[in-house]
Amino acid sequence: MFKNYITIALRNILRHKTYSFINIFGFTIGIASCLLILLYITHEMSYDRFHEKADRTYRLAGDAKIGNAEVATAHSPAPTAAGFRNEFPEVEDATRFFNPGEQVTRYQDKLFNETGLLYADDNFFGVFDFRLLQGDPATALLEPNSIVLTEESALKYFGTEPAIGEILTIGNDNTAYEVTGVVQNPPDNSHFDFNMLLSMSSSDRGESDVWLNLFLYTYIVLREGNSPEALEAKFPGLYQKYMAPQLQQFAGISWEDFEEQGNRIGFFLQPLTSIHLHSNLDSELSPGGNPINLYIFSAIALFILLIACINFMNLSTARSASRAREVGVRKVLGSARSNLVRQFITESILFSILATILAIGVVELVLVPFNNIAGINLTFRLFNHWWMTASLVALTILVGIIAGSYPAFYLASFKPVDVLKGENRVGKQSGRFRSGLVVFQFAFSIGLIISTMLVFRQLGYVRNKDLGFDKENVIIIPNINRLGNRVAAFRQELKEQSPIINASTSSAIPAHSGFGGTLFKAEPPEDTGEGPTFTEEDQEFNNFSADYDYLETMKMELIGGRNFSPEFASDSAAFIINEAVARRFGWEDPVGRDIYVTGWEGQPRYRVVGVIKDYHFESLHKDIKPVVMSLGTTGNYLMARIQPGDVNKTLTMIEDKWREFAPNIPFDYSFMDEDFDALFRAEQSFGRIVSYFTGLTIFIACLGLFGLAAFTAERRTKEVGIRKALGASVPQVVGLLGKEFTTLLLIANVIAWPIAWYAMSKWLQNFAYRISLSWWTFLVAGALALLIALVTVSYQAVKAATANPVEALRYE
Amino acid sequence: MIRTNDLKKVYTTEEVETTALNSVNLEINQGEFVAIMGPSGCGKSTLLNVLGLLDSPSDGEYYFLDQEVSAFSERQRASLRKQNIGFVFQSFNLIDELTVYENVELPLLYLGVPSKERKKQVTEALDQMAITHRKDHFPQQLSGGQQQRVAVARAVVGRPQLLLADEPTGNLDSIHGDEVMKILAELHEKGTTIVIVTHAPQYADYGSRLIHLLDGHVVTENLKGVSNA
Ligand SMILES: Nc1ncnc2c1ncn2[C@@H]1O[C@H](COP(=O)(O)OP(=O)(O)O)[C@@H](O)[C@H]1O
Ligand SMILES: [Mg+2]
Repeated sequence: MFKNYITIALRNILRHKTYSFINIFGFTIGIASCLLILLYITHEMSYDRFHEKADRTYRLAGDAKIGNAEVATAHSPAPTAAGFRNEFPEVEDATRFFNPGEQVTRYQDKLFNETGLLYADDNFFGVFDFRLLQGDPATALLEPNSIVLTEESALKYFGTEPAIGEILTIGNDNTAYEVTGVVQNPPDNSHFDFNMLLSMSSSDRGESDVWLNLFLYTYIVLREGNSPEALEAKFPGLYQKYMAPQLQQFAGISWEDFEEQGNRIGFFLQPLTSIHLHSNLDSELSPGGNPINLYIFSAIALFILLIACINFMNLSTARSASRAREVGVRKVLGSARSNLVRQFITESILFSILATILAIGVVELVLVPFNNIAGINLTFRLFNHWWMTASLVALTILVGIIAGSYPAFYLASFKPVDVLKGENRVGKQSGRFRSGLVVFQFAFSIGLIISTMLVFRQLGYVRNKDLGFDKENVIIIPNINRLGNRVAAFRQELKEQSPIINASTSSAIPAHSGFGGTLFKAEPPEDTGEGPTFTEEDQEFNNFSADYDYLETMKMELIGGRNFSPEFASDSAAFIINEAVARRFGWEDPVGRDIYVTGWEGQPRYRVVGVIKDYHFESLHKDIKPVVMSLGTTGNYLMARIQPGDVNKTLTMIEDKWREFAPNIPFDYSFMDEDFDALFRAEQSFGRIVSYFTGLTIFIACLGLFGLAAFTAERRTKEVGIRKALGASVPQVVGLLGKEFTTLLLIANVIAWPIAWYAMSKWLQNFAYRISLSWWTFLVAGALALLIALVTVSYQAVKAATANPVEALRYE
Repeated sequence: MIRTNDLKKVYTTEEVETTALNSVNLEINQGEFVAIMGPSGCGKSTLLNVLGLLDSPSDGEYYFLDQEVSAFSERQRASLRKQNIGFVFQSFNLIDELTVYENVELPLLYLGVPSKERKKQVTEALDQMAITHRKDHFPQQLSGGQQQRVAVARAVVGRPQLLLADEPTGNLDSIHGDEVMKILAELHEKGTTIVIVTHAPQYADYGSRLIHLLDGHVVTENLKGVSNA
C-alpha cells in the first residue's frame, strides 16, 4: 500500500511540474533558512562549552556605584583569585588574566603590532581547555618571561621552524620572552580570543593586593555540586574582611558610611557558557551575541517555512478537483477516510523529504556568503551531531504534517457520490480559507518590507547624521607615544606637508576608546582633611585631553568662549566643555565657571574657557553625554585632516614620514569615517540578512500567488470565455481576475501596518538618534507588495483573458 | 441478498429539496442479474449508490446480507463494501497516475491481500478481460472499451458477491458496449450477482429481471423477456 502511495505521489509530482516546483522550491528555501538559523543558534549557544569544566566555571564580575557613577564590569581586582581559593572550600580553582593592550612584538626582523596578548596565571590551562600542541600545560606559564603562542602566531613569527625556546621581544622596553609552548588557535565559539599568552609572573600587576582596583579577569571553578548562588551569599563576609579595611585606608571612609551614602562595590558570578549571549558589561573581552537577533532570525525563518506550507495548503486544495476522482475511486474500492489522510500526508512528507535533500545542498552553497554577511564562521556537518540529524528529520516530518494535514483531511472528506459524477463541483468550498492564508502570507511579507525599509533608512540616517564634527578625510594614527619625545616634531612635519590640512594629538577620538570617566562637581568640595567624599552632587563625565589644534582639525563648532591658546598660561587648568556639561550643571552661561575634579588627586579646580556644540563621540545608539576637554600634548592618537583626492598617495607619504621617525615601530592607521561605520556593522549585517530573508519571503509568497492565480484563471476559463463572447475587453477581464487578489492585499496591509509599526518602534529604541516612523514608508511597502502581487497575478489573468473564447467554451 | 423497505433518499442543497428515491421496496437474491431502466434524473444512480453502500438512505430500512445497514457509519460501510461489492461506472473512473495493472491491484491492497496472491489474482482478472498485454499502460493510452474492461477487472478482482454497474456502456460504441456486456454475462454465469443501470433495451435484456424507475418510484418489475412484449 505504502509503495502505491509513493508511486502515485511521484507520478503526480512529475506530471504537475509547476505545482511541484512551487511546493518543493518553497519548502527547500524554508527548510534551508531554518537549517541556517539552526546552525547559527547552535553556534551561538555552543560558546565556551568545549571546556571540560564549563558547567561549573564562572566569571567574577564587578558591580559598583560611587556617587552618581554606576558600573557593571567584567573586570575584577587582582587578589580575588587567591582570596577565593583561601576563603571558600567550594572553589576548586581560580585563574586570572589581563590584556596589556596593543604591544609591538619583534622577532629578528619581524615586527608586528599585537593586540591579542594576555598575561595569564600558570593554571590557565587547568581551567580552560585550549590544547597545547607543544610544551607542558602545567608549567608553560610558570616561569617569568614565558610565552605561549597560538599555532597561528607561531607560524607568523617562525614559519615552519620550531618555536619552542625562541625569544620574542615585546613592548617599548623590549622585554624578552621565551616561547614555552604552542597552543591550538582558540576556536570561534570562545568568548575570548588571544594570540599570545604571557606568564602572569612576568608582570608585577598580578601581584597587586588592592581589592578596589578592578582591572583583570578572574574565572572560578566550583567543585561539583556547589551552586553559584550559595557562594555569592558568602560574598559580604569577604567584603568585610578584605575590602572594608582598604576602603578605610585609601578613601578614609568606613564600609558602613560608604554604604550609608548609597554607594556599593562588589562582585557577582556569571556562568562561563552564558557570557557570550547574555553578558553585556563594561570591558567585555569581545562583543557578545545578540539574543534578540536570534529570536528575530528564528521567527523569520519559521515564517518563511510557514509561508511555504501555506502555499502547499493553498495549491493542494485549489487543485483538489484533479485529485477528487482518485479519492472517489479509492473510497468506492473500500478505502477508509483514515487511509486517504495517511496517503496524502505521506505525499506531503515526500515533498518535504525532497525539499530537505535540496535544502542541504542549498545550505552548503550559501554558507560561505552567509558567513560573510553575518560576520561569523559557521560550519555544516550534518552527521556530526546526532541531534542535528534528528532535528532535521523532525523538521522534515513536521513540515510534511503541517502542510499536508489540512489538504489531506479536506481531500479525504470528498464523497464518492459527489466526485464520481464526472462534473467537478469540488474545490470551491475552501476558497475563503485559502483567501485567509493568502492574507496572512502577504501581511507577513508587507511587514518585512516595511521593516527592511526602516532598518536601512535608520542606518542611512546614522551614517549621514551631522555628528558635530567632520569625520570625512581624517586619518587616525594610534600609539603615537611610541615615538617618545619626537611626537611634536612628527606632528609638525606632517602639518607642513601640503596634502595635510591640519594635525592634532589627543588622548581620545570619537568612536574609539580613550575617553576616561571621572567625577566632577560644580561647587568646591569640603575639605574634611580625610580625603574625598563621594556625594550625590558628584557627576560622572567623560574627559580627555587634546592640543591647540584639536577643534580645528575636527571641525568642531565653538559656541561660546574660546579655544585653548598658548597665549594663556592658565589654560593648563582650563576646560572646554560640551553643551551637555552645562545642561547637567544647569548653567546658562558656563564660560568662566569653575569645575572641581573630585575624582582626581587634590580635587583640582578647572576654569571653563570654551563651550563646544554637542558632538557624537560615541555611537548614535547613545545619547550625547557630558564631556570635558583639557589641554594636553601627551595624547596617544594623532589625527590628520587631509585634502580629499589621492588618499593613497597621502597615506604613503605619511607612512614614509613615520618610517623616518620610527623605523622600528610598525605603522598603523585608520580612517575616522570607517571607524564610525564599524559601530553599526552589527546593524548593517542584521539589515542585510533581514533584507535577503524579505526577498525570499516575498518571492515564495508570490510563487504561491502565481500558482493560485493559475488555478483561479483555470477555474474561471468558462466564465471568461462567456464574458468575452458577450463583448468584454481584455483589460476588463484582467481587472476581474485582479480584483479578487487586490482586495486580499489591501486586507493584508491593514493587518501588517500596526504590527510593523509596533515592532519597528521597539527596534528603533536601540538608537538614541532615530528616524521617525513616517506613513509613506508604510504606503510604499504596501504599494510595492500590491505591485509585485499584481504583476504575478496578471500574467495568469492576461493569459486567460487573451485566450480565444471559442477554445475556452469548447473546453468543458 | 438485498432487501429494502420503504427506502427514501432526499437531497437538500441550498434550500432546494429533491426526493431522489421514494418508498423503494426491493428484493434481490443471490445470483440474479437485475437491470434498472428509467428516464434521466429518476433516481437510478441514487438507488445504485445506496445499494452499493456509497450513500446512506434518508429513511427506510436496507438489509444487505441480512444486516440492517442503513445506519452504518462511513467506516463500517467502507469495510463491508470492499469485501462484497464491485463497482463499474459510465465514466470508467480509472486513476490516471496508475497503470492498468496498478489500477486493478488497488482493491486487493485495501483488502490486505498478500503480494503473491495479489499478483495471481490481478493476472487472472486481466486475462479474463483479455487486457493482459496492456497491463503496463496508463489509462489515457487505452481506448474507451479497453478502459471499461480494466474498470470491470478492477471491480471483480476482489471476487465480490455483488457487482453494480451504472451505465457501463454509456460512453462506449456498440461494439465495445457488446463486449463489456458479454463479460458481465460471463461473470453472472460464474455466480456473481449483478445490478446494472442502462438506457439500452438490448442490454437490459441480459438481465433476469428488469426494474423501471420513475421519479424515485419503482413502477414495474418484470421478469425476463417481458420487456420485449
Ligand atoms: N448530490 C446531489 N445533490 C442534490 N441533488 C442530487 C444529487 N444527486 C442527485 N440529485 C438529484 O436527485 C435526482 C436523481 O438523480 P440521479 O440518481 O443521478 O438520476 P439518474 O441517475 O436516474 O439520472 C435528480 O433530480 C438529481 O438532480
Ligand atoms: Mg445516473
